[in-house]
Amino acid sequence: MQNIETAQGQAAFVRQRRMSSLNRILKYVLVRGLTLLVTVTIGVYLAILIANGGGYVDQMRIGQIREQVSLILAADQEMQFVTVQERRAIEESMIQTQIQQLGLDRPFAVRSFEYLWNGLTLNLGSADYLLSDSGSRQVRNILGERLGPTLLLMATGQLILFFSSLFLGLILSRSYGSFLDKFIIAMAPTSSAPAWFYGMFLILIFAALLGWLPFGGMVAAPPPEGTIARILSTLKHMILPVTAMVVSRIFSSAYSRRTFFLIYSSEDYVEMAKAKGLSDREIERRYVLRPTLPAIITSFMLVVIQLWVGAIVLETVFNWPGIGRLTQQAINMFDTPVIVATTVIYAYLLAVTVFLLDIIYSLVDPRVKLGGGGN
Amino acid sequence: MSKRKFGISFLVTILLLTMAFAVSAEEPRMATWVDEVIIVEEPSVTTAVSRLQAGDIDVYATTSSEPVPFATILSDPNLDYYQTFGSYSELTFNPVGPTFNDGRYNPFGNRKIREAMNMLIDREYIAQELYGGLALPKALMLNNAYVDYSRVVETARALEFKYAYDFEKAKDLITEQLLADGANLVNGKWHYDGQPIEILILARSEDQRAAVGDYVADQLEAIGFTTKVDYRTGTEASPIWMMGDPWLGEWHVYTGGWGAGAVYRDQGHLFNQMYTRRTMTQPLWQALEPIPELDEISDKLYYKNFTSMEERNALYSRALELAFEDSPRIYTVDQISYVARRADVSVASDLAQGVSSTALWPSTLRRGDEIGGTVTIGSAQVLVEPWNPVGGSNWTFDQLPMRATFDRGFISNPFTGNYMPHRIERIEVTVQEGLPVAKEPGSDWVELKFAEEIQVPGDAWLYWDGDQQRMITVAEKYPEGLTAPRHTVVYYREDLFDTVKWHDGSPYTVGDMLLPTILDWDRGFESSEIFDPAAQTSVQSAMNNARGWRIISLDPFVYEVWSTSWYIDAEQNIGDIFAPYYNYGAQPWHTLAIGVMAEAAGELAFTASKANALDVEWLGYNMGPSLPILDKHLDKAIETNYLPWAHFLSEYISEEEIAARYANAKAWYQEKGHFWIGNGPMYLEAVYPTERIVHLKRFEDYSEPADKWSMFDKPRIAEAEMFGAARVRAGEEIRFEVEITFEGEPYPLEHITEVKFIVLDATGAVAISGYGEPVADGLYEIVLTGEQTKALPIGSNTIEAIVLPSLVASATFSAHTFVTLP
Repeated sequence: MQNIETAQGQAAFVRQRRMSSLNRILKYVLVRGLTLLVTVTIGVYLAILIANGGGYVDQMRIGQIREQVSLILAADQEMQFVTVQERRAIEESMIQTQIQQLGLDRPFAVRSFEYLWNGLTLNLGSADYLLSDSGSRQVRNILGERLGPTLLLMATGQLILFFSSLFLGLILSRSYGSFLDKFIIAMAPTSSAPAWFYGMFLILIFAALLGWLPFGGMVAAPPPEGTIARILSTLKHMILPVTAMVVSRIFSSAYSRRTFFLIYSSEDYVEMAKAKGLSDREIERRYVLRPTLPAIITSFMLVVIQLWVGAIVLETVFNWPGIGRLTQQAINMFDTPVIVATTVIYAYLLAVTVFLLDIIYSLVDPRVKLGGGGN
Repeated sequence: MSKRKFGISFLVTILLLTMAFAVSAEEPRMATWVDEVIIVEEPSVTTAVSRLQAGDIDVYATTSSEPVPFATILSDPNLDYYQTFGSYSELTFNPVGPTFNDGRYNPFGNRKIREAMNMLIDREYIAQELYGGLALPKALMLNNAYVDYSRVVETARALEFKYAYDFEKAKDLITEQLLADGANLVNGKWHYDGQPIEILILARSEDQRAAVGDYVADQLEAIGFTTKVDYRTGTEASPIWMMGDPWLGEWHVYTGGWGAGAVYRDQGHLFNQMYTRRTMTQPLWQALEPIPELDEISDKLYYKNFTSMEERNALYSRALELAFEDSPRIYTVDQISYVARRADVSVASDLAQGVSSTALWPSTLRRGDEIGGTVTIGSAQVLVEPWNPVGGSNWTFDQLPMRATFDRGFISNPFTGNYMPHRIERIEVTVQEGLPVAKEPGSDWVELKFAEEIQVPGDAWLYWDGDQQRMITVAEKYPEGLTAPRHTVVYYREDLFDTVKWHDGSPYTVGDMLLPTILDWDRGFESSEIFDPAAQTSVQSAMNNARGWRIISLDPFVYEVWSTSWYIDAEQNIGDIFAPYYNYGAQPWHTLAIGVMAEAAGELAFTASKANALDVEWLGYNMGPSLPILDKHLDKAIETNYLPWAHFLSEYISEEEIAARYANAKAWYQEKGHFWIGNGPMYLEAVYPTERIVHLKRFEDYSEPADKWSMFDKPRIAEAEMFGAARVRAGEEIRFEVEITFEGEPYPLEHITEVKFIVLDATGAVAISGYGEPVADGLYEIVLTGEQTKALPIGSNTIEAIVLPSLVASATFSAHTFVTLP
């Protein structure tokens, strides 16, 4: 009887504990979700305010419209045969049509909250000025058409960079003090130059001087017929930009990983494992890599969301039709819907990543407990 | 002769005859010299030049004024370039004053100070040092590459001398005015009301105008002003200088710039734009206080209120003088831009805007003497906006490929800006007596007549009424009768309907002229199913100004048009309905019809503004989300044999033609994957929107030979050199020779309109002017008689010859200095 009571008590305790864990996790998810939502909202609204200069951009856009319309009519010889009043009427009508179509006749404060709401609900709508490559006004098409090339280039470059620096870091941490180790350390400062800087040199050498590889673009002109030929052509066009990305970061990345692994390799528990006679591979896998896993995963996740952003200058140098160049165009043209769309998508991706990382940490690191008040 | 010899002779004869026949039967190359053109995007001119060097591209069609790549072009024998003169820079002054609203003094509110600023800046320095030699000093509003400059060249040159750089003179004049206005010099700095006079210079940051802003600041500092330069992009600066209230004093000087879209034949309208309140409605222009005489002349030139070219030139000359006296803006340089190319590739390039702006580029593009092959053209942007002829892209980057795909009734001369017939055989122009209209020598295709009064017949169509869905005649709207200042009869070539074909194989018909005409009117009426608010005002205006038109003959096609507009060049008094949407390309009536269906269904819109308002896609026949929608409507059109405005157009378009046209369009779409069907020398093979590539191919059914416009492969800008004695005694005759060449060869006399000369005395005043006499090809002689030299002041004089070729609008100058002895 006592055993039964004890068992029931234990079951109740386990249930209670499970409920408690569930409540704790739900509470955490709710609070964390709300916190992230507020952060995203604030971030996006700030982006809207900044992109529009707090509303000053409206004046600039109206000025542009007036200037363009005036110049169009000034260049129109037929206007010489209408009266000044008629001409003014035509001009004002054209100006007001454009102002209304862009919503510039309504206060910016009102429109800023519309931008925010549309952005947060992912109702991306139509761009003010920009068009997609194929001429669509829909922001989803504008971003969608550029997403593929950006992901292709950035994913290839960043993933090669991430994994090669990870393995190179491991190799260096094993061969501390070797020639390779010293060479990588010596080369690390070269990473202070951005990828596009190396890109320009690579273009100069391999495209302009040797003529082996194309200057830029995504595919040969005209694009080769047949899928395989086209894939090969695209790969050929990726060689220089990907190389530029990898070369620009590989030394510093490998150096930082190597240092990171070395720090973990000198922990007491690693020394203990060595004293116990465990193999190097086992020590590396169980006592070096495992505790560094959360940091590596964080780094990887950030790399993944970074792919979305593209690389403005690199894409420009290599004439790559990516999101980086698109963002730059949108900023230059004050195309708020496109700026909001890229910002909000990035913000959501970042928020989701942060949220997922919290969960992943608790899975890979037993010391971390969701909603555990910092335990 | 033996049988054997006879046999051999017979065979040889047959062989020779066959060869001769083969040679004589060789078809001339039609359409274009090249088989294919690939247009690729290259935003950077520096990279473009590297790509040209590497043979990766053959022409870079985007004009540039960057000096560093230009130096590379000059140093590489494999590269060459074409010059363009379309852009120019200036300094705009804030003209209000003498004080702003807050009491600060504005020196540029004083007209005399603005006028003196012409002499304070060294335009030669700006051109050579700040623009790296890629600019020419510019003192006048006129561009000396255009014909108006040569029309008033005596006044122009005199003014250029009068307002040439003279720092001390400018300083004295400005000092005098500042003192008169109540300013005083304290420790070398000008003060007003005890405060230093600070000049705010708004300098454009995108190009050399930033350095011009610095230079102007230095010059102003050198005469005692305190300056501050604010560097801003065009977008950032516009709300301040153009849209802002000038009385707020947010700026004093703005480093402006303008561009010309074409080689202007008549720049008279520019005075109104630059010096009066009439053309531009922005606050800055509304703050102008033009000299009344300048204001009056500007308006006369704008509305062409003159009766002879002499009167016009006199008005023009006076306006130029007054423009300097008023100087709300002063000009600094004409920019020289270049179109880079490989040296072995030639192509027509417009003097104003380069390759993109001329319709002749596809037919003149050629690599050496090669026939066939592929040429790759780089462009800063490719496929910017959707293409549709009603309200599609008018970006110069889109115009480049677009211009290759459609044909025209007339072609604009890329070097003179005048019109030349293409599908038009001839025109008869009648203008009201007293209008100074003249035709160029050699324009045999134009017959020019004058009439005391030009009556429009009552049965002429005036316009298409969208409410009533029919043509309104002149008699209906003007029962009391109607007159017009100009009447033109346009005779198209007799082979027009036999030779012109659309790229999908459809023959060109009269429907291709009439449907676009109706479409253009109809969309301006609220009752129309394709009503576009953006078109309403211009259609209303066009209705008020319409004077009528009438078809005289359907085949050969002849029509006549009456108009309120007229131009001083008879050739430009043309009406062409062969390609109605000149700026946006051309399309056959059947693809326009499916566009009408799509817009009427609220699924697409021809204009960006309507697309925005309806939140639908902007119609693009060349690419994008429009294509499946258009295809859907094509299927519907095939099902119903759809003809818009059928009650009117069915008289001109048969049921069979409708069916055949849609079938051709369907086959085209299935093969090419787009609906951009033109009738030009090249067709659109494919577009690659994300990759930014356009692929054009030669249209083999194009009826015109490739060498039709070969003379436009390069602008024959004359080179001139003047020779003569270094001194002459007053009262003695003196002769000068002017050698005129092009690429080292004598310039043919038949292509030289005239050689003018002016003699400037030591003060820069025009002492004598006249004309040189032709001697031989490439040689003119100028004679100053004894009486003329007697009238010259003793001392140094300069004679300047101005050569005006007929093949290009650009005048060429050559000067010679001589001394007149007592």
